[in-house]
Parts: sequence; C-alpha cells; structure tokens
Amino acid sequence: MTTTQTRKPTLKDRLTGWAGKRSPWVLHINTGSCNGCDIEIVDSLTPRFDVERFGVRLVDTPRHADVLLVTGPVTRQMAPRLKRLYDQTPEPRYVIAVGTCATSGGVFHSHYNTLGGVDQVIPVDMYIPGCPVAPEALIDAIYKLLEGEDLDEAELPAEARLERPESMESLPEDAIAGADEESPPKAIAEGDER
Amino acid sequence: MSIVPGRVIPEAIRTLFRGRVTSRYPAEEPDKPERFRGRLEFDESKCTGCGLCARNCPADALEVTREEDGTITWRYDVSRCIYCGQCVETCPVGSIINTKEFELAGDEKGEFVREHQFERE
Repeated sequence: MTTTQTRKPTLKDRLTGWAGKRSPWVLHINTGSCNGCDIEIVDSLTPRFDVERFGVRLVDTPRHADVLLVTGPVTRQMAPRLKRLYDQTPEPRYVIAVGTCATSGGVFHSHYNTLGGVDQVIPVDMYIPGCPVAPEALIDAIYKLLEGEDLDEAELPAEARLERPESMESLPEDAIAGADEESPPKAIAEGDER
Repeated sequence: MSIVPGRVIPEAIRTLFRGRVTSRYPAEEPDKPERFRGRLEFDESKCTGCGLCARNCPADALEVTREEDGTITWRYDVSRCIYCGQCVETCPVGSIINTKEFELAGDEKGEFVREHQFERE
C-alpha cells in the first residue's frame, strides 16, 4: 500500500522488523474458502511439517499478527471484514494469498458474489497457487517472503492511523455497504425481506 | 479415559526409538506421491492446436487461439489452474503432462502466465 508520508525506520522499528523476520506470527483468515486450504494451513502446524520450527506461530487476533494468511476468493460479504482485519494489523504487515482462489479467484473468477482474489481488496505480498496448496508450498512461500523483504529496513507511515483509512474507498460500492453500522446493506435499507 | 501407567511406559519407550516424524523440507526434497499433480508442462512439438484442453478446463486457466496464418497461441495461467488433470486426460496427442512442481509462490501476478506460440498448417 502506498502511504503518502513515510518516515525513516528508527532503532525500535529495526528491532521489531528483525524479530518479525525471525518469528513471523500469522493470522489465518478464511474469506469464503472451501476449507481445503484452511486444512492445509492447519496441516503445516502438525508435527509432520511443523512450521513452528521457523518461529511461525498462529495467533488469535490481527493485533498480534505480522503476516496474514488469507484463503478463499473473497466473497462480497467478507470483503469489508477482510479490509478491517488488515487495518487492525500493526505495520510492518505482510499478506500471503493462500491458494488459487485467493490468488485469482480460481473457479470462482467471474462469479457475481465473489471479488476474485485478495488483491482486489488489500495489497498482497506473496501469492501461492495450488488447489489446495501443499504444506511444503506454504513453508516455501513464507521462506521466500521473509528472504525477499527487508523487514528491518521497511518504510513505515509517519503517523499511526486511528480513523478509518481512506483505502476503504477502493472497495466496490455494494461491498462497502455492510461494513458501516450506520449504513446497513442495500437490501435491508430498502426493506427487502429475503 | 484414564491414563494407565502400564500402557504409557511401553509407549514412551517405543517412541524413543521411532525417530523423528518431521520432514526436513527446505533442506531435503519432499517425498510427494507418485501421482501428485503439480504445474503443467507443455510440449509444443506434439500439439495440434485442437483446443480440447481449453474447452475442458473448469477454471478457464487454458486458452488456445488460432490465427488465420496458422499461428497457435497456447496460454496457461498458473494462478488460475486447479490441477485437476482434465487437460492431461483430454489431450489426444499427449502434449500436456503434470509435473511434480509445487513451489509456485511468487509476488508478481504477471509471472504466472505462460505462453507458447508456434506454427501449424
């Protein structure tokens, strides 16, 4: 994501980045996946593949996460939630699109109810094709991501953002409708009972 | 369920000599099953350009176009492929095969598209 103002990384940022590179904490988000990729993510945490030997740890909240593992083709209902989860993740943050659906929409690429890929909503740093992805492919992607990124040299936004970010406007209009409690989804607003 | 010491101790001793179960993946090659379906490999010398693979593809990952001068373009989008193997089954001349390659992760979406261009009469 292009932020307008950036500052140079301080010593504290460098330390955070250094630690994040050696022990990325991941949050798993399902945005309408068939559960194939979700099970592969869980699979990679089992003793057989054991991503924890690389310091990868599954966390419960985006506020603790460094890397978001997003599965699924992003349904219209999930899109604003995905955006919110992304905004709640502290920087530096990285997004991995896990699976064919998250990468390009896959078999759901032209459906009316999906947006066709995570990059339609939030910026993605690494795509993993595969249906479902092999646990080794997931390890490979995390490895490639952390090798490629200079986490301790990353440019950070000048100020912490407290309000809803302007990037919300990049969502399709009807997808945003459900995100704001003050403006309910179109169908409810018009009194459509379904 | 209660823990019976008479069962736990023999199990613990057995586990001591069983070795590790964790695969040493990045250091060693993973043992994928023999019929693992990974990225497609295309042999353009065999292809006749009939387009059956593209018609059978459930994810629209394949696209075969034929120009008037006989130039055939075989376009494969790795990011959309679901590795079902339908194209491999369908191809009448066997020009498509599944490889065991699965380390496909990349940060550029444009790199996922592979194109082959060749001439046929």
